[in-house]
Amino acid sequence: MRIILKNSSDLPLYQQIKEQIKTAILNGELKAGQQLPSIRALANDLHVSVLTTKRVYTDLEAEGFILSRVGKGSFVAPENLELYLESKRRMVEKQLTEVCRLARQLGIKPEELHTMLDLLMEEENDES
Amino acid sequence: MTSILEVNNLTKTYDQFSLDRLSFSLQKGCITGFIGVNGAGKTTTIKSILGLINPEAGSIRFDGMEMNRQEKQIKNRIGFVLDEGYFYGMLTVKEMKNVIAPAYSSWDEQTFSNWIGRFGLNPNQKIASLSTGMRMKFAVALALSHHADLLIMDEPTSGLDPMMRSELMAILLDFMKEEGKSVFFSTHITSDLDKVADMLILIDGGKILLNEEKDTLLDNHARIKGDSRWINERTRPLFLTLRETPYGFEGLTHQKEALRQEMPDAVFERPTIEDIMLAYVGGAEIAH
Amino acid sequence: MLINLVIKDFMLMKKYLLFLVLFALAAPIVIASQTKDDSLLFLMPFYLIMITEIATYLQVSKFESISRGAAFICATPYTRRTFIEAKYLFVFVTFVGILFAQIVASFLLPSLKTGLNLNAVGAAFLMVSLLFGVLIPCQIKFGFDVVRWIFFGLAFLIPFSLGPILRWYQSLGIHFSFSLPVSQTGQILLMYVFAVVITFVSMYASIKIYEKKDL
Repeated sequence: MRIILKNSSDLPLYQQIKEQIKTAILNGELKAGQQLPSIRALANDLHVSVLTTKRVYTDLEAEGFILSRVGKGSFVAPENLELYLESKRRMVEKQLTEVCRLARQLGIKPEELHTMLDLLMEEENDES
Repeated sequence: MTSILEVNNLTKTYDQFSLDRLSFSLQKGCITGFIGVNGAGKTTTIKSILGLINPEAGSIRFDGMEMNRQEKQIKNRIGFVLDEGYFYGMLTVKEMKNVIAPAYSSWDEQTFSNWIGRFGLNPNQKIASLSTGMRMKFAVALALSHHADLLIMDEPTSGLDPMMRSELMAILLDFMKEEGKSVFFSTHITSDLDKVADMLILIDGGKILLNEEKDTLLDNHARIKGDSRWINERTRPLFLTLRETPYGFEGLTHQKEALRQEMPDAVFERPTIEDIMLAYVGGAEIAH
Repeated sequence: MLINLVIKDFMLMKKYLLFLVLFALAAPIVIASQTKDDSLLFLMPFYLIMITEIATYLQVSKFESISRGAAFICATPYTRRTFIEAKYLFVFVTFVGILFAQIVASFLLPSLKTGLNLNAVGAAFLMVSLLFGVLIPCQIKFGFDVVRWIFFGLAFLIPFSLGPILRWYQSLGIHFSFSLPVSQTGQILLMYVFAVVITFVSMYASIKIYEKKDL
């Protein structure tokens, strides 16, 4: 799993970490049942506070992505297709919201946007 | 998280300076950085916790125990490193260890000799002839050889070269790997804390100005650079510090959102602990 | 635990320790071989104990004053109280040590036995308790420098005041036998009891003074 923290990013550190762990779980890089590093180890490696990593794990657990067992550590939760699908959708939605905002700002019409999206998707398909 | 040490209303008056009803607590499992400029009250606070200074008022609790009542039990679980070493210079490393070791009920001779070996300390060398760095290492070895739960260090990095400073930071992180350990350490070299601290307490003029999670503090503040023309009556008060030059401005703020709306094209950067410390300690004069 | 801090005091002056042991052994022999005066022999233990006690205590206090080791010790579970108790025990251990040296010396030179009776030792014990019983709390309160000058003054005074002290001590002894309905043994016992009481009162005072100190 790669976690890259950006000093210039506007997102708080804990959110950057959380998003990247979530991405790793969603794209299957982290498998169900796999053990996550301890909050202290993760904090030391990322040079962030143990309070930050603790918050990340607490949030991920509340959202159903990981499970914590007292004295054992934290593990990736069993695959929950519905949850994953929902999260994936939300991640794309978030980016799209940004795109919509920019388009509106620059005066690009919805139809134009749809065309752009179709074109881009086609290009992606050709490449892969 | 529960607290390991609680300081309540600590008050101590000197001619030039006083600690004014200082209250804070240290969380278990955290490295708390105690920052402030020289003379801010860091050493006085730490000496009060260790019982080397008699405060006029205030109480200190450690893991539910009252310092005044259970001093021995509490000190058994504290390891400390004081800035000037506080050793008998005419004794050798081994002799000093022989004086100190019997004080602790869970002294671990094996651990001590491991540290001495790792640090390359000669047990038969006179303490007076040790360099500043070696003396600090000796102090660390003494502090880490009785399974302390809380490590209190006063300016352990001043007078050390960058190599040794990062070595000490690595030792701290190593110490923290065991569950339930805590570190409280004062410094005016804030770059030491950038990588290791969990909590930050900023003291100035005997008062606590900030007591927050390090990452939250760094998330909530920003160093902003941009065109001086964006500085006006509305934006100026949003800065903690502001420096204007013919080429642009640079400033520190804790109102990121408001400023982002006012000047969307400005460069927003993550500040360092030092930026924040200086802004709160001397910022008032610079900003206005 | 307490004894480790006493050993620490001896370690601080380890360079001078051998010299002091030799002095405590040789001085009585040298002096006794040069005099036949019984009253001088009688005062010998008293004199040597005072001189050696003052010398060792000064030496240790000097080292103590130039380093911050005391603060380190007080920050450990030893606490301030043990640190003070160890000071008194150090003076007592030194006392016993010098006495022992003189007993050894008296085997080599039997005339030295004149001064080694319960009465003379008791008087020395009482004087040591009085001297240090006042000085240790003063040192804690006012610092090493003040006490050093008091010590120097006393060290100079002792040789000059030996005669008067002896006479004063004898007159005191006579006075005692009139006013106190106790036997000679009782008086000697009282001396020891006084010495112990003074020591403990002084120790209590020292602990209380030291508690208020900023180290």
